[in-house]
Amino acid sequence: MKILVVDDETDVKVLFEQRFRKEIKSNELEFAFAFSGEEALRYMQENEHEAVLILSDINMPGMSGLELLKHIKEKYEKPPPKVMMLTAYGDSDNYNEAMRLGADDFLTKPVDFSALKEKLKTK
Amino acid sequence: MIRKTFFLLFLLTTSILCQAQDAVVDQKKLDAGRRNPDSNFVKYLTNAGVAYYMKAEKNDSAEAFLTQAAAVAERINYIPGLQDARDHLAQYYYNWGRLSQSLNMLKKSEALAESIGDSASLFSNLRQETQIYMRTGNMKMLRSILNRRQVMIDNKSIKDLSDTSYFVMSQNNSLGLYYALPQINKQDSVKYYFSKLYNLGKVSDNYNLWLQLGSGGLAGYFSSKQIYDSAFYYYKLALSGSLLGKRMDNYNAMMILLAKSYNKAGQTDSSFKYAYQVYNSASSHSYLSVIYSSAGLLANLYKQQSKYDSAVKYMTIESQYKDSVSGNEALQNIQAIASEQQFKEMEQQKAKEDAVTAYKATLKTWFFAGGLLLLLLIIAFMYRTNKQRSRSKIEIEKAYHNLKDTQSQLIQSEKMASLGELTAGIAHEIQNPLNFVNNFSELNTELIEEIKTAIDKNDYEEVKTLAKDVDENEQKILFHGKRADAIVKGMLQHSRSSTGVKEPTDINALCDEYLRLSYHGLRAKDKSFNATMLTDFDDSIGKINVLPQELGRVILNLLTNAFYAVHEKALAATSDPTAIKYEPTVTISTKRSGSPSGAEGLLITVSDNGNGIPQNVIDKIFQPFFTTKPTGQGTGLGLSMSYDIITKGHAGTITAETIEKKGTTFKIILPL
Repeated sequence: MKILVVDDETDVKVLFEQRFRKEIKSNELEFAFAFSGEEALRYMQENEHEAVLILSDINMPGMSGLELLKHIKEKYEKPPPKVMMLTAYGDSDNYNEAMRLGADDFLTKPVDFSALKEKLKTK
Repeated sequence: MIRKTFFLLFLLTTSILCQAQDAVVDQKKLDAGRRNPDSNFVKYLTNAGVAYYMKAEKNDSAEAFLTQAAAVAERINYIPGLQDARDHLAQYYYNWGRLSQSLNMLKKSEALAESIGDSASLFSNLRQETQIYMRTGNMKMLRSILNRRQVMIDNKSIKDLSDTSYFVMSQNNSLGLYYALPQINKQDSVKYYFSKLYNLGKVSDNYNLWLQLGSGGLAGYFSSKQIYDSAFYYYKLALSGSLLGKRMDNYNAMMILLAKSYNKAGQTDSSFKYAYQVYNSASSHSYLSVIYSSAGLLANLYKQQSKYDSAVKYMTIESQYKDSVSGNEALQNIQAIASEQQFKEMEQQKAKEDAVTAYKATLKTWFFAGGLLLLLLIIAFMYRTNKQRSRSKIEIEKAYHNLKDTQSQLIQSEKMASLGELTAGIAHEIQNPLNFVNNFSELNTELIEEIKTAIDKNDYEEVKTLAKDVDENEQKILFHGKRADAIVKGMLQHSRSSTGVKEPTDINALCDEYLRLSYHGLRAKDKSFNATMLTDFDDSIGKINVLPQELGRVILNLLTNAFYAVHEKALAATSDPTAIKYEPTVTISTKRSGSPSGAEGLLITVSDNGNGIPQNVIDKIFQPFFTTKPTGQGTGLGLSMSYDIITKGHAGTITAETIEKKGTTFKIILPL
C-alpha cells in the first residue's frame, strides 16, 4: 500500500521512514512525501491515483490540508483516495469541518504511531 | 464743577469732534504748549485725545495725548484738567477692553474727586465703573455702585438735578441696562427707564444721545418680548441716531443687537447681513471689542446652519480677541481690585482727614497711598495666583497620575489582546516540535532494544547502523526541544514589560518567528484564512542592539494588520465571481540602508497586496485609539504603540506608503 504524507514540517519524512522502517523493509508499506498541499496535488496528477492513502497535516502555508481534502474529494469521483487528517489542532471545529468534507479519519499530533499502524492495517 | 458738567455734556454731542480734529494737526501749538504748559494746553491735549478715540479706530494717539494731558495737568496742579484727562483715559481703556487699567484710572480719579468734594466728577467715575462691572458680571459691585449713585441723586449732592438732567438720565440708562441683564431680567423696569430716556431724547435735539440709548433699550425690551416689528423699528431709530451723533461705539453695539434680534426672530438672512456689515466695518477699523462680538455672532449663525468650517473660522477669530476684550487676565485683575475695595475705602477715609490741613500735601499723600495700594494689590494678586497655582498643580498632578495608570492598563490590555491572537499560533508551533520530541524518543527506545539484540547476535555492523540512527534522532530531539523552548520564551517576552535594556538581537530570526506565529494564529482562528508569506532577509545585518520584545510587538502588529488586509480583500474577491484571481501575499524583508540621519541604518519592510489605506485614514493611523476595525475588535493602540516604540524607544522612523487597491508598505528604519 502506498501512503502520501503531506506536511510542511520536513522532519516528518525522517520520522515516518524510521517509524515504519520494518514495514518499508518488508515492502508492506511504501511512502511518498509532499511538503505542501500544492505539491501533493502535483504528485497525485503525475502518479495518477497511485497513492491509496493520504495522510495530511491541516495547518500549512498556502493550500491548507482542508482545502486539499476538499479538492481530492470533489475531483476524484470514484473511488477517491482515502484521506486521514493529522493535525496539531484537535478542536471540534477542525474535526467537524474535516468530517463534513469527507475525511476518512482524524488524528492529532503528537502522533501515536502504534495507533496509526493499527488503523493502517484495517484500511 | 459746573464747567466739568458742561464738558461732559459737550463731549457727548458732536460739535467737539470737528473742532478737536482740526486742532490735532497743529504742531506749532503742541511745541508752544510743551515749552509753556498751562491749563489751555491741557484742554488742548485732552480734546485731541478725545477726538482720536471718538473715531473708534485703533491707534495709539488717543492714549498718548490723554496720558500727556494728565501728566501736564498734574505737574502744573490743574485739578479739573487732571480729572478730565483721567476720565477720558478710563473711557478709552474701557472701549479697548483694557478693563483693569480703566478701573485703576477711575479709582484714582474717584479718590481725587472725593477729596475735593467734586460730586459731579465722582458721579461720572461711578458711571464708568458701572459699565465695567456690567461687562464683567460682578453683580455685587454693580449693585453697590448703582446705590451710591442713587444716594447722590436722592441727597441732592450734585447741583443740577432736575428730572431731565444728565445725572438723572444717566442713572436711568444704567438702571435700564441693569434690569435688562440676563441675571436680573425685569423687563417692565427696562421699559420704564428707557421710556424716560426715549421721551426726553425725542423732544430735545441736544440730547440726541438719550434718543440713541432710549431707542436701543426699548428695542431690547421688545426683542425680549418677541415683538419684533417694534424691536426692529427702535433699533433702526437708534442706529440712525448714532450715525447722526457720530457715536460709532453705540452704532456698532446696536448693529450687533439688531443682528441678534433678527436671528432670534428667525430672519437669518437679515441677521447675516447686519452681522457681516458690522464685522467688516470693525475689521477695517481694528475695533477689537466689536470684532470680538460680531465674530462670535457670525460663528453662532454658521453653527446654526451646520456650516462648521465657517463657524470654526469665526470662532477662531473670536477667541483671538477674547483675551484682549474680556480675557481671564482682565477679569481676575478686576476681581482682585473689587475685593480690595473696602480696604481702599478705609484708606480713602483716612486720607480725607489729612486733606483738611493742606490741599497740596493731601495730593502727595494720596499718590503715595495710591502707589502703596497698587503694590498691595499686586502682592495680594500674586499671592492669590500663587495659591491657586499650587492648588491646581496638585490637581493636575493627580489627574496626570490617573491618566498614567489608565495608559499603562490600556497598554497591558493591548499586549494581552495581541497575545490572545498569538495563542492559537503558539499551540500549533509547540505541538509540532513536541510531536517530534515524543516520537523520536520512542523510536530511540525501540532502537536501543534492537541494538541490544544485535549485540547479543554479535552483529556489530547492525549495531553501528542503529547507533547512527539513534544519534541522528537525538539531534532531532534536541533541535525540536529548543524550538519549543524558544517559542515559550518569546511568548513570555511578549507579555512581559520591557526591561528597557537593548540586547544584540537577530532581527531576521525575530521577523521569521513572528511571521509564523501571526500566520498560524490567524489560521487557527479562521479556517478560510490563507495567504502566501514571502521573506527577503539580508543575512549581512548580523545582530543589532534593540529592545527585542518591543520590536517584536511592532513587527507582530504590522504583520497582523497586513494579514487582516489581504484576508479582507480575499473574502471580497471570493464573493465576487467576476474578480480576477487574487493571491493574498504578505512580504517581510530586512536590508541595510541609509538611516534618517544619513548614517547607516536597518530597513525593515512589511508589505501586503491588500486594498490599501484610504487617503483620509492614512494621516490618522498612528493616532491612539484610531481603528478601522469594528468596535471590540481592535483597541486602536497597536500602531500608536508601534510608533512610540520605534521613534522614542529606538530613535528610528516608521512610515506607511499605500496605493489604493494595490496594497500597503510599512517601513521601519532603525539607526545602527
